[in-house]
Amino acid sequence: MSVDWAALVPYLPDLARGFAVTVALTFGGAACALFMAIGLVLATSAGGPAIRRSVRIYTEIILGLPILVLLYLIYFVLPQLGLRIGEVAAGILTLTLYYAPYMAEAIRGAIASVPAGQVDAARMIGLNPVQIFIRILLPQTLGLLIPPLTGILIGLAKDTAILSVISVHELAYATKRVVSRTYTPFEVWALVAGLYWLALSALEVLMRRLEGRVTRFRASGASA
Amino acid sequence: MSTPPAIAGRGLTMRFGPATVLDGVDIAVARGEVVCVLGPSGSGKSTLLRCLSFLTPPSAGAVHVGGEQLGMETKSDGTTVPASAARLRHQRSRIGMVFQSFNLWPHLTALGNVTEGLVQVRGEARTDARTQGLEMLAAVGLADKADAYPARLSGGQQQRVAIARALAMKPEILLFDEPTSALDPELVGEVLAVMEALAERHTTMIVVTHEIAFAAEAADRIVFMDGGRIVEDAPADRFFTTPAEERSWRFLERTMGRYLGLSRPQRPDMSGMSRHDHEV
Repeated sequence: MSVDWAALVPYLPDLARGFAVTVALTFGGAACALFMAIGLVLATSAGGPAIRRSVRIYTEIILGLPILVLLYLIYFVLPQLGLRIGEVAAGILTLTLYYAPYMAEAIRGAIASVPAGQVDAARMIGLNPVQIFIRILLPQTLGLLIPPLTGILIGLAKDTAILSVISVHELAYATKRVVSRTYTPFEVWALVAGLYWLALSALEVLMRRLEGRVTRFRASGASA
Repeated sequence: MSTPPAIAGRGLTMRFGPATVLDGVDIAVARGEVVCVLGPSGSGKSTLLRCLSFLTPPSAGAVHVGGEQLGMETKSDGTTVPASAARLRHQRSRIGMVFQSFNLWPHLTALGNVTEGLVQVRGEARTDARTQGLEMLAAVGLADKADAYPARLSGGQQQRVAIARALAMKPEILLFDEPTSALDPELVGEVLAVMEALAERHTTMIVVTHEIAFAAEAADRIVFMDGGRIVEDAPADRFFTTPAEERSWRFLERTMGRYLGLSRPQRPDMSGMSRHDHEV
């Protein structure tokens, strides 16, 4: 087998565009999923029994469903019910619905790790529930949240490749197109695999830095 | 009664499932009075404080702070309805609480812990809050630790910061829930010293404690609890010398042996009537 890297050069802009779409899908999907996850946490902590039960049923359905099946349900089945959405919207919706319960679980776990006495103290001082969440719980749980959220975010970033099956023009989709033009699957896929690995490793380093920043109060305690 | 007590609980009852942890407790503390609550573990002392502060609203009974009933508000037409959450927070701000496990917020400095309520709840300017916060820290002897995070402070220092945090809100009543039970023995003294200073300045205090010597020294009145009820409620000097109840006496016999300088209490004469009238 002869390896021909030069054949790739004219198609690098295509791959770059695909990469940009993958990054956008990752952060767009993660932002929507995080938003929904916070909603799920608030619904289970403050909502009535009916709301709590629906959240639990939804969570159990998602946990038992391959993301590809969810994607097909949204992209192919919803239109038959009269709900027509574009492939990018379907992609983001899939990532959101699929990853929100995982993120919600991570948030719940982190909040549960804050001793209840701290909330008692906050209530005695007169902080309201929103202030308690923002001023007391969130700053402490960010450090605990980042490691599990990093894992979930990386999973989400990898799963963007699945969206290529409904023709979202992200990196995996762009790669398939380039391969079909150049007939050099080894070169193209090797390059793209390296790119995924590099990007995800960078993401992990970034999140670890962030974790260091938000847990400075612990570090300053340990250094005494 | 002309002046209502600083804080009063009437018929306070707390049930957790089948268990009755607090069983119809009546307690009233006058302004400037220091009351120590003694009793064996599980007698309902801490639950009493949680009910008085409405951190855990009682299953039955009422709490009045300066004559105003916690958790209720009176409408303009004179009817009484359950208070809004905001109203309850306002009512509760008249009470300060110090916890066994300090419960400082670890992501805030000592000063940040003390000023959090001033800034977020009272809406005071940061510079004003800072000035007051430093004053409060100085009052508990920790002015030099203002910028330290709780993890850098000893247990005794953390508890003193927690006292400063409660004092900063200028509460009318301070509740202490076993404030020295989580401390190493050598750190207990510094916290008790701060509390004694507060007692000398006639701060209204209810102190749940196992520190008999502190209670004998600082308390005006002793409330002795057992099994979720008040067994004896007596002036401190009388309680420690001539307790009226057999159970009080036995508790003192068991615990006071460890404290030199306190003479042994006199065993009550059980031939007469038992004083259970206040439990009805």
